[in-house]
Amino acid sequence: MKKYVLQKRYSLFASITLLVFLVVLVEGRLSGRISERFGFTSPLLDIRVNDR
Amino acid sequence: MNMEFHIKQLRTLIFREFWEHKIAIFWVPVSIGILCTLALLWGITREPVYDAAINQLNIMSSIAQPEARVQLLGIFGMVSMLFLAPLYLTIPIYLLVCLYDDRKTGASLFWYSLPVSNAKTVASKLLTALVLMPLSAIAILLLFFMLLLLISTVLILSSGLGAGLLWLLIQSFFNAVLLIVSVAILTGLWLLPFYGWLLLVSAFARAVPFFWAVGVVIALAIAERVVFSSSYFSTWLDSRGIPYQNLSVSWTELVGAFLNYDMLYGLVLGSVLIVGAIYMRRYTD
Repeated sequence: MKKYVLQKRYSLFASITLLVFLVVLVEGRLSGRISERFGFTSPLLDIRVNDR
Repeated sequence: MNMEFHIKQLRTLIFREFWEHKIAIFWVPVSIGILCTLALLWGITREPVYDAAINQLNIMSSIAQPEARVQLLGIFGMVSMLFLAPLYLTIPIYLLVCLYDDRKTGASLFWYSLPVSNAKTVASKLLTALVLMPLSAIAILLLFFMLLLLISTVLILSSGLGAGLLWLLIQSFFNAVLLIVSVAILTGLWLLPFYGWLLLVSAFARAVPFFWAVGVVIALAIAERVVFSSSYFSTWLDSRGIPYQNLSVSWTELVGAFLNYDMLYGLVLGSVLIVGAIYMRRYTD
């Protein structure tokens, strides 16, 4: 039982962390296109676009 | 179960947080307030400080009103930093230990025996960090502002600077309070991904939650650098990491900061992490 709970905890933590990490990576890669396509502007988005 | 019951439950849970973390929520801002009051009272009785204050008020009465208003807001903003900066040190510590301590002390078993859902428990922790802690600091700050206003009024009246400056001071006081409340709400929402991450780690870690919170982030940044030769993750962290970047003395800037792409993006990521923390509580070891 304890092993099952531990497995669940680690897998849940790893999946959520990876999901957020991948979303940030993909958004970082696409930030220029997002900015152009939808016309979003913000100082931080500009920083990320220029940082590519 | 009706809405009133849920609100009552949430209120009780938030009160419990206040009771269990009284030092971080109440005593830290009170101590800062006492220190600032003592420093102010000590300073104003010294001749150089008194002269500098009179001199500053003289300058403000001689310059144009809009300029004087911006200067006064700047002074109120600087004073508020004394109260708000420590707040953004205590909030992460609170979030990092709140769920972890519940499991470590066995208190979570008691709360599991009550008809309180995991969502409500996590929501109460989040609301404490988002609302209760800033509210407590702002309440003490408000008292300090009132003392500052009282002393300034006495100085203005005793030096015969006129009612115009006094009226401007009162206007700036109310403006400053509204701006500070808005900045506190904005900063809380802006930092939601960090708050969510800390809650997730607090619900997950079996030991040393601080090392998990920091270590995993550093490991991911290094992994990205090594595997993809890019630094999107660390750039994103950098761009959101400074809480006082939302400090503003202009209403138009504030509205812009509430409604932009980055804010909404952060809210979505923060919500995912908070939902993760709620689910994590299902599997308590």
